[in-house]
Amino acid sequence: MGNINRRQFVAGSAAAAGAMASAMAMPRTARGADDAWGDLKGRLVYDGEAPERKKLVVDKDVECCGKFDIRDESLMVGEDGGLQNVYIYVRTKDVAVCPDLEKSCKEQVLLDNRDCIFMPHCMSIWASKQKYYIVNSDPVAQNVAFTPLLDTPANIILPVGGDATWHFKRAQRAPVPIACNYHPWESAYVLPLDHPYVAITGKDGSFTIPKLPVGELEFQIWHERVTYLDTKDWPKGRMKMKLQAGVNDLGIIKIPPSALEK
Amino acid sequence: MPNRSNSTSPIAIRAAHYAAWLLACATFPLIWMGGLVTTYSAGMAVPDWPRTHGDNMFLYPLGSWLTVWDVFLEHGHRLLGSLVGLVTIALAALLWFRDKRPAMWWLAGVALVGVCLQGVLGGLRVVGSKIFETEIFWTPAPVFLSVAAALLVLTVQAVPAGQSGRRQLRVWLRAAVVSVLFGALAWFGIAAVEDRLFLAKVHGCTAPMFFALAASAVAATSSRWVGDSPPTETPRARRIQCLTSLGAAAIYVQIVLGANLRHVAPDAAPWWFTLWVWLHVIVACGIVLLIVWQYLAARRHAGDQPVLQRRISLMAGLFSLQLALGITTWITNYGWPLWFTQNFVAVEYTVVAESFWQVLSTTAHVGVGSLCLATATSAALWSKRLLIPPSKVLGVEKDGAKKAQATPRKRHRK
Amino acid sequence: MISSDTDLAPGNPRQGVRPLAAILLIQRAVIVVAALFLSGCTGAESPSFRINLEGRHPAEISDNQRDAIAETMEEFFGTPDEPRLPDGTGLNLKLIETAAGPVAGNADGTEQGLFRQHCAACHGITGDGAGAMATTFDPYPRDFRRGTFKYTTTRADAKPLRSDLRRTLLRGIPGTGMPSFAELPPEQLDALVEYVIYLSLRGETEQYLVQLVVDEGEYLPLGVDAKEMVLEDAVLWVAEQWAVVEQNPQEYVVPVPPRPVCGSDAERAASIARGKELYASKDAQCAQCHGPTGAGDGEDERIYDDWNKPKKGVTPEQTAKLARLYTLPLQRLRARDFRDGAFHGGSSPEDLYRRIHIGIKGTPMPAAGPQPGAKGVFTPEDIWDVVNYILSLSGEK
Repeated sequence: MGNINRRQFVAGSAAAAGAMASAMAMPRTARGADDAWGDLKGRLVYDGEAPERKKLVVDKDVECCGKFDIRDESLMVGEDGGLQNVYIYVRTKDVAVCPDLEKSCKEQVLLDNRDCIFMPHCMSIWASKQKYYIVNSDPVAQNVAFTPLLDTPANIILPVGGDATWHFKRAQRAPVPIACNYHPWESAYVLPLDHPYVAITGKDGSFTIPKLPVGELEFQIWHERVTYLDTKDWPKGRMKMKLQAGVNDLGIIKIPPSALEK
Repeated sequence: MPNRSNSTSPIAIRAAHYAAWLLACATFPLIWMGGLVTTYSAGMAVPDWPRTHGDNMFLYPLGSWLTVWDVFLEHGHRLLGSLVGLVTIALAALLWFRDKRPAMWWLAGVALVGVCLQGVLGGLRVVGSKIFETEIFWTPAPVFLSVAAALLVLTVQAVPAGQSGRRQLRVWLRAAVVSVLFGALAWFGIAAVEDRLFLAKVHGCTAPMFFALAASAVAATSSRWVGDSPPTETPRARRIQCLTSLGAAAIYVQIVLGANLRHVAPDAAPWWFTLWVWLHVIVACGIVLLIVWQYLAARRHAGDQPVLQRRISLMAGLFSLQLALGITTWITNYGWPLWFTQNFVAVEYTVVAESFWQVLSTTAHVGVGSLCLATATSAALWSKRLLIPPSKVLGVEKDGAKKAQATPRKRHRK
Repeated sequence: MISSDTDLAPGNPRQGVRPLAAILLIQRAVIVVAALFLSGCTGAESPSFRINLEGRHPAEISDNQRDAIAETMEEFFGTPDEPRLPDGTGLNLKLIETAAGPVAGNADGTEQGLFRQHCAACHGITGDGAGAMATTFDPYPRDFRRGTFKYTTTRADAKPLRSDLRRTLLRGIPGTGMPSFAELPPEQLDALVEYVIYLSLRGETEQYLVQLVVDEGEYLPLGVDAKEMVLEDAVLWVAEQWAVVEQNPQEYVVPVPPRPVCGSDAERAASIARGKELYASKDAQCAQCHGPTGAGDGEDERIYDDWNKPKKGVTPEQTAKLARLYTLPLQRLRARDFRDGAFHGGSSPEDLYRRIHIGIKGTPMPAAGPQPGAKGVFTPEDIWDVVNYILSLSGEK
């Protein structure tokens, strides 16, 4: 450390002042991703014997669709009991959204007509930011029809190799069922929300919702068999919790078979 | 006090007969106008009663009346109703002072009460409970009406002192029954004062009955009725009388069902109308059978009573017209039924609301329906007048033993 | 005086008269019977809107929930006799008031209660298509509460214009029970159109509210925040959907290009042949519902519109069970038989063009023409060829 001449002092002070000023001007959220945001994770397990999935009646375009083993997708349980296709999403209105998620969100969400079924069976979409891109990968014409509440209904023909882009004008409070007018066994669900905080349980029943804002939040849990999944921990399919920074692990949540029967 | 001589003057009866015809001829267009009022939903075109838009009913300016269609219908209906009331008073007076038959006095009384009731019902249908400013007014009204009705009966059927107690008892019994009926009717009417739809239906159902009453007066004052033409003895007399009465009753039921089809509550359940339509169709089929049966029976067993046969034939003709009108009413209001267009002829037809044909068939269906009832009532009455079962005649003319046997039955019929 | 025994000789006029009294008595008795008969059929003087709980088990809905829904709806929209509108919906309350309320007439000939006079018997006082006469008709009267209208000039994803609704009132729907109201004065038609939009707005708001209160089990009583949310998320949102189409018709109305003129019979035959090929193509799947010859006898024997689809279960037992949750029984949709030439949406070539391009909203009939985001299966020229083919089936040009 030697003598610091005046020029160096002024430069250093200016730099320090600039750093402080920019540090103060920066939003608190970006300052430390760790203490402003938290993740929610858990695993849903079907607490019973996995039921056999019924084979669905394929009576249209049989030459093309008859060769697939098309089964009921309304209750899918993995090998280790993981309950698939359960939606967990934030119910709290006007929830703060992490800018990282805004930046990293994909431009569109894909719905594919493949093997004479919709893929994926359950999906979600950020209504104001993402487009719903629908393609037909099947060798027969397909149709996609859904009626979101208070939003415009869709009834789109997709020729072989055709595609369409749909915009959801508003968020929904519950997933919207999708059907095909040509092939009545096909079904899927899409949940348009005005935020990205939604997860759908995977094959092993696990889910993660990253970068939720810390604080009091209300979540909803939804399954297509019963809509809102009413269990002991989630009365009326809702749960309020105080989210901490870092990982909030709900652990293994056992869902009894009775909760999935209407 | 009416003249109680034993003979009935033919000239006096003829005057009453003309008055009865006048009444019938005035009531028929009144029913048509009432039908038009409902077809055009003009029932509330004049929201007050008995005034018309604040003016005295008889002084409402001609220009205002004639230039607005709905007001023309509703106000015109009221004016014509007043005329019918006047004719009824004339008929009642003629019957009371000229006709010697107590039943005709009773008919006159009922006609007068009936026309007043119709007027009041029509008014209540428009103003509802507003006409009664306080509850006190209408609570004793049923009692008042019952007593009035009983008094009327007692006056008309007065039994002089010296007659048997049994006869007196029967008159009192009759008075009691009528008073109860009137009381119940009045109570119902008052309870329903809040409900305009109900009142509209009752108003529409009482009108054809009044028309039938006028037709009864026409029949009972006719020279053939009053004269000496002998009734036909026939073992089928009772059956024909029963059939014709049943026919009249069935046509009235059909009219009530029709009123329910016309006056549908805006918040009634969705299956409501379909139910009434089915009933209306089923009863129509029943009436067809009854008419055919009557026609055949009258031809075979009352061949020498052309008056009766003509009435029945007229009724058959009118009812066929009514069936055709019913079909055109349905098509012009609701379109061709799907089972017809799918399986027979595909007709591209658009229903046009308030079109000429729709209004004509619907209102004609109402008018001709009343005419059917009047004709059926006339046929029923004539069948009672012109036909008689054989055994009664024997009882009077043959030996005393049979007479003694027959007498209790005659007494009972008083 | 009154009869003595000798008066029973035949020919005595009194003989027929005594029974006269009996008949008259019976007829009077019938009045009372009729009165009793009719007493079950009274209508409430002031009817109220029916809550839309269709598809839900009545037992699962508490009285509190019902009351909360009814109270909130009345706060926003009033009653059938006294309608109300929140600010900012863009609807004309004066016209709605003319159409609302009981039927009445004024001395100058203007009328009140137009909806109840002309529409409520079929469409219901709530506009739910379940009026007193509903089950007489096939197809059922329209349920306005979904906000979907079949025959419009606007894109598949847009609300109709007021002129679309007015056209339906003026034209009626041939082949159904929907009458043409061409005889009514124009201001009455405007009032009816406005009232239909009011009922539709009300119906969509109610769907949102019922989902919130019943499906989600929102905490009751509904607070100011919740009602504010319903107002913004539902009422004003839907009103905006109607308004945006009205204000930007150039964007939302599907343009109908002029029909190519077929100079000769050969040209017309060629167009019809092309149309037939397009009709039968696998891409369009027209024959699936309309049949290979356009006779309405396609493979899909049982198709349902959006109003009836929710009533259909996977098995007949399920359908029977679902039937109890809905006001009207399940009714199938009939794919049009083109040979009849009776098209509900209008039989002119331009009308058919629109039906093919836009589809029929609320039914499985999809939009075959290009629309924003989807190329569709037919180009406008293709659509005209198909129109020519369809018209040829009924012998029309």
